[in-house]
Amino acid sequence: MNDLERDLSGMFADRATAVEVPPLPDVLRDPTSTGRRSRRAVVVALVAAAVAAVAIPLAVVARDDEGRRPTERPTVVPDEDRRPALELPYLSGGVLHVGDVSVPTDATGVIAGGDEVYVVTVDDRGAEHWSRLVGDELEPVSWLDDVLSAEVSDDGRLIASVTGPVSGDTIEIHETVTGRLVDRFAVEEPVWEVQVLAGWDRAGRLFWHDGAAPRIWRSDTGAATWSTGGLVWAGMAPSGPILWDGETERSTVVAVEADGTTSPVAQVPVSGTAAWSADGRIAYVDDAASAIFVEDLTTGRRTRLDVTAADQLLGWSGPLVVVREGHFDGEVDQPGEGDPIITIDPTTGERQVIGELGAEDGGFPGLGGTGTL
Amino acid sequence: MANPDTPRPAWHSFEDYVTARWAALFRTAHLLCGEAGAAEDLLQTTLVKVMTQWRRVERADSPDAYIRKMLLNELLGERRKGARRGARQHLLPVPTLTVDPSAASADRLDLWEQVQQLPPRQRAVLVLRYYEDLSEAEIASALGISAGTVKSQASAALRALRASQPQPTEEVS
Repeated sequence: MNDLERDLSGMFADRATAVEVPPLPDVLRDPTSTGRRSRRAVVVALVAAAVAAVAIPLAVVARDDEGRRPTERPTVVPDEDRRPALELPYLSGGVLHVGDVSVPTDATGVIAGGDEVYVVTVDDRGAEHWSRLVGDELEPVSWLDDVLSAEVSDDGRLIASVTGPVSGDTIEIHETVTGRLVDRFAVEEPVWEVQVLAGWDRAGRLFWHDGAAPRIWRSDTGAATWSTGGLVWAGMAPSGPILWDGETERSTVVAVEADGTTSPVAQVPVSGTAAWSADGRIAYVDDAASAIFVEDLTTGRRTRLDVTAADQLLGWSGPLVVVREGHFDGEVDQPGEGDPIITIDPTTGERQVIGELGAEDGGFPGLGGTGTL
Repeated sequence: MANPDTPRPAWHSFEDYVTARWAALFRTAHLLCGEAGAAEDLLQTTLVKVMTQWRRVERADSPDAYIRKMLLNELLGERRKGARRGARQHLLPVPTLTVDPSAASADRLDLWEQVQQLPPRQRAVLVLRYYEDLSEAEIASALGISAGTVKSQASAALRALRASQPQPTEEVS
């Protein structure tokens, strides 16, 4: 060990000793604690839940009466063998459910686009392995090995994948059916540490942020830069990116023009969790009200769903909103085995149980938001 | 973090583990991030994930190594869509270390500040090597890279640090 190496050892030891260690947050000491959490802990729990949405996330719930479940709910509970199939793919109890298809798997994450469904498993070394649902079987996709993040295009034709910072710093776009490599491009240094695949729009354009600038990929022109115009890139809608000024209660869905500028398309509520229906409605969590709303972006009609603050928005299954019914355990809602998965018709309010969560591993495709990317 | 060769404690629960290891994990996170607030964010985010996967983590040969890897993944990579940039300020790119050979030594940054200006992966290699005292193979495993890449990253980091260190003045007798 030379002088510099000795200096490094000493400096690291000194710094580690000198730093003031903060107290262990309550949420980590006792996840069922009824004590108040710090704002940081709540934010971190929510962020982590969103990031790890492949697993069943935590939900933080209000402690007041708003969180109480209504005494009577018009929920239909069909016999198990008569439950309607959910269009939204999900993992539960070691099984991938897609419509009427159920496939055993040890996957911990699922993504989907169009008719394409992919699941990911993580081996003991921490390496990811992806499989594609073909018929009622999962076929390994070796060219997605070690891929941390992938997004299927809205029509299911293409899949974008990004290798991690430790294995390549590259975005690849493949055809889902054939596996053919459509495009491949490196991400410039030092952006590898923040590259984020934001998603595809319905026109088949891929959006991501490489740490230096927002980027867009088109099949005809390849990768290019676009500008948020000084606003916060706050999410992805089917028709394009969502920009937010960071203050108002509405953010703006924009179209990205060929020259990289944007033009407004629609206004949407700011939310940390939102899901888009195929017919132009948005289901979103109103974080302040601890409630789920559905807004028709065409008519502007807004409907509050009959849910408690413990319930978790999962997505859409056709015209129905999919929700996990949570339960209360002090301040923290812990997702658990047996939690009902229900659909709610936002037009009629009709509710129907379609299944229950299985073991702790599993989940639904992750949802983005309209307020933070 | 615990040396992999030391006897493995029997953790009864996630709460037991995190209570016992919080301080050590925080110190490592602090060295990786360079700033206490970012370290706290990074560690909490990682441990919330650990909490949801605890049954898997506790079955690992070394929960410490497993969690160290998760911590590094959280620091160096984005795991999936939905990463919240606002809560990940510690992941923002750092400026490339630039050295002005003509600068007086008094103007040069001290070693801690110089390390903070290294690319995060190089910084992580140094922390794992000179604080955690891991071997090249262990660092390679933790970062998911080859031993050769560990060497090249360490070499590049040390080269950059040397270049920015004050040069000894030759005495002429």
